[in-house]
Amino acid sequence: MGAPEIVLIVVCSIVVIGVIVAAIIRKKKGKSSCQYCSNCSGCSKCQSESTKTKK
Amino acid sequence: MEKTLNNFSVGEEGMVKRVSGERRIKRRLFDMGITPGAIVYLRKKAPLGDPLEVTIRGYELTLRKNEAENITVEVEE
Amino acid sequence: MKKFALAGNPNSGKTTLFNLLTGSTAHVGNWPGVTVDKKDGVYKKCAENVAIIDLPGIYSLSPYTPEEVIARNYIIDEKPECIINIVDATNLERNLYLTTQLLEIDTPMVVALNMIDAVEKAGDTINSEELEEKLGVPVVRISALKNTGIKELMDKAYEVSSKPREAKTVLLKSAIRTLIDDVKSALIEQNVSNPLFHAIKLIENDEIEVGMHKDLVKIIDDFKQGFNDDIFGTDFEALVADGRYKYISKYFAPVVSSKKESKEKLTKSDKADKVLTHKIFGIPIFLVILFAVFHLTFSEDFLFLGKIFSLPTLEELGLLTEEGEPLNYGVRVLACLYDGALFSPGVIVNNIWNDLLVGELFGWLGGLVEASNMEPWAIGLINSGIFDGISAVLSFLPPILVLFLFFSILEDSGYMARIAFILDRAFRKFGLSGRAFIPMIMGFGCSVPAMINTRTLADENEKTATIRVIPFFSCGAKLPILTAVAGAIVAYFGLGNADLITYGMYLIGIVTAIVSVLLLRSTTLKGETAPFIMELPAYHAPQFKNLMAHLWDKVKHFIKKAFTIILASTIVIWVLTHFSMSWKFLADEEINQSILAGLSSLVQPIFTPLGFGSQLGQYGWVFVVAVIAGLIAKENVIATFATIASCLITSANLDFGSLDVMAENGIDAVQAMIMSTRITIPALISFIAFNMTTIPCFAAVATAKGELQNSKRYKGTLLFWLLSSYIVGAMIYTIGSWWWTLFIWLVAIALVVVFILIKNKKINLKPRRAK
Repeated sequence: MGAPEIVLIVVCSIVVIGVIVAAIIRKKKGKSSCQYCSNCSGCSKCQSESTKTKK
Repeated sequence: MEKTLNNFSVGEEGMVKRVSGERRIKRRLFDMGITPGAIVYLRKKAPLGDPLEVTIRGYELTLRKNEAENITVEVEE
Repeated sequence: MKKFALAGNPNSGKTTLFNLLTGSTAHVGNWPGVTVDKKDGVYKKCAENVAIIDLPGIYSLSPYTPEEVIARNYIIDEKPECIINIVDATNLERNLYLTTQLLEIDTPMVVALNMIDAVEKAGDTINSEELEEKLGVPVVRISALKNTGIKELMDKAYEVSSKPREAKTVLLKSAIRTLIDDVKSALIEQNVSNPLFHAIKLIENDEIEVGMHKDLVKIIDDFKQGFNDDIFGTDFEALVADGRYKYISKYFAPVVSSKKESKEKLTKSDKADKVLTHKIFGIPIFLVILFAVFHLTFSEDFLFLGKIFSLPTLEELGLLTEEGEPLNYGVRVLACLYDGALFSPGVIVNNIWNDLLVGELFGWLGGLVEASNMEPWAIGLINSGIFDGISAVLSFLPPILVLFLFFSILEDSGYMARIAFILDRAFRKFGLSGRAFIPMIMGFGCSVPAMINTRTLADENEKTATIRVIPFFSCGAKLPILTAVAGAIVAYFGLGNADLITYGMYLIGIVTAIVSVLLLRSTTLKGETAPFIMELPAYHAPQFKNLMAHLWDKVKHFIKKAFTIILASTIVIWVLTHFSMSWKFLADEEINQSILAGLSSLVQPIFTPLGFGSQLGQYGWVFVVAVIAGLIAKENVIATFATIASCLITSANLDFGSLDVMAENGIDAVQAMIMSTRITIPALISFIAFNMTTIPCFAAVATAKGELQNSKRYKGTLLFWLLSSYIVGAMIYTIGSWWWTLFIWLVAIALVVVFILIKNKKINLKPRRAK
């Protein structure tokens, strides 16, 4: 196994582990509701629409 | 002549005399400006006559017929 | 750091102002315990940095809604150094209603008179100096949209923030002023801060106040003994609200000089409304608009010109080589726009992105890797695992974006609110209010903001029912599944029309949603719909800058998702499909001995009634993996097929000619699946339907959990998704394969309906609607 192969394995492992770890951290933190759609401008839009009428 | 808002025809206008109904609905109507003395004008009805769109205090408000039932309005003959 | 709070009505421009003040420092979180967004940031252009906190848009400080409670508690408990009250100048009276309540709190305050430009355009003027004098707090004219007056506003706010302000009330001239004084004095004696505010709220019989100051209720009751108002009797809550508006009408309204009678003015909004919310034509117009959106995004025969004029194909024009390839680069570009028909904008963008950009890029990269000296497994991992998977997903960016763009335009312009108004009556027949329509349509873009938008539905059951059906309005991420499978059906079986199948599947989603709502609202989620009292904002042309900002956000997010979650998924899947249970490395053709194959084969039989289970034989497990991978991100379903496809072709010895898995939006990958498993068309449709209606991606699931805030409802929701998708899939497959099973299903459905009716009649002896 040459250098490129080792680099490949390392990079892939980092990506996979990184994603899993990030997901766990998010769960523990209690997510901000905007984290997923990332149109935070959309979230404020949601918010202004959501408060258009209340009970 | 007194009428409840749900019996208005499009284009009719009058002055609110009193607002009745369940506490939260009443409060909500007040908060939105439907208080005795306010002029209310029926701008539009949705298909099948429900909900209604009224002009009150310079803006457009929508409400259902059964919510409009609570609003008693004085209209000129 | 000083804290300034932004308070104002919804639609007053508060959000625009907040964004202007905080820019990139804006941070969105959650107010604890409730599903309301908490936004804060920093304004850096004052003498010192100031924290800006954006309170939820509210009409009043009553205790009835979480937004109102949050706002008032923040001001009372956190004691910001200044309140910036944004007032919509085009809607002065109602906006000032909140202002009169804010004035009753002992906090420095500034009024930002927003949308002055709109007022002046309409020919009116507002005397802001007069207003300032009457309110007793500074009034600054701003236009958040045009970014004017902001510096003056913030300088003024900073200036007053260091000077204490004493609360004032407009009720000083009302019949209850002595009562207010008495209660206020009593509170001062108890060392309560903001005594005026608490006193008035107590008199209004505010639930929160009564709970905190039970001892003082007696004073109020005593007063009530000797008091009676003609109109309100002893209903002080109504009296206070009325008192505020009376004061506003008399003293504040005159600062506006109107050139015309506002109600007779036919604004542009009204003219638009005449057509778009027309009694009879309103709904048909909406359906046409919806059709137009899909047509502009997906149609390969724009405006049906190809059919109408029998336009010649590229082949007929002699622009293709013998193998059917474009003669030169020029033809390649042309092929993105036209081939026997003009392509719709959505399709054109898609073709340019895929054929000219992504296709080229990954083709070149793949070539480099192939030609390198890396070991075969490494080349396989990169090319088949990573590149194929990711490019399949990236290939979907255009349609997702285009669809998203159109829906954003519909929403931002205010059209959606109008449709909710028209549809309310119809929706109520299904047990929902018209307002539930908006989150449902948003679901076509992404389920996450759609579920967040259900906060407008005050009734818990209505909200839960809406959340449960939102995933049935297939989001952008499910689009790949639709187009790839539909396209593969057409390409492989030569049957049908990809557009039609796609529309049909969206329709199945909608029908499932309707049926589910009826079911849910007559069984586990019964109840009244929430009140519809709602402000209709004027139409306004969506701003180009805003739209582009939305789009860019979406692009960034999509790319990020592709290179993190989906990349990780493809890597994991590749590893699990190239190692056997004993960790021996496998060649492509040995894929059936892999770990993933083994595990999934165990689950495979479950899907037999849906047509993609045991009957698919030894390669059927790939469908199972696709479904499970879809739980992470729906794009993964096709990414999975793409990643595994080349192995399948080798392993199953398929005659595939030149496999270009990346091109054609994953259609080739699906074709490989069809070939290796002999899956039937009904089963394919069932597969699409299953993925469309089953548990959505983890992000949406997490959002649903956050919005429902009730463990029982949440679990019920997961169960609901599993059951409904399984039943829908089974129905499609069995009826599609053996038409007579339709009767069995009908009987079963009839039985369920009868059961529900009986159950309801037994429990509800009175009719459900009280009014």
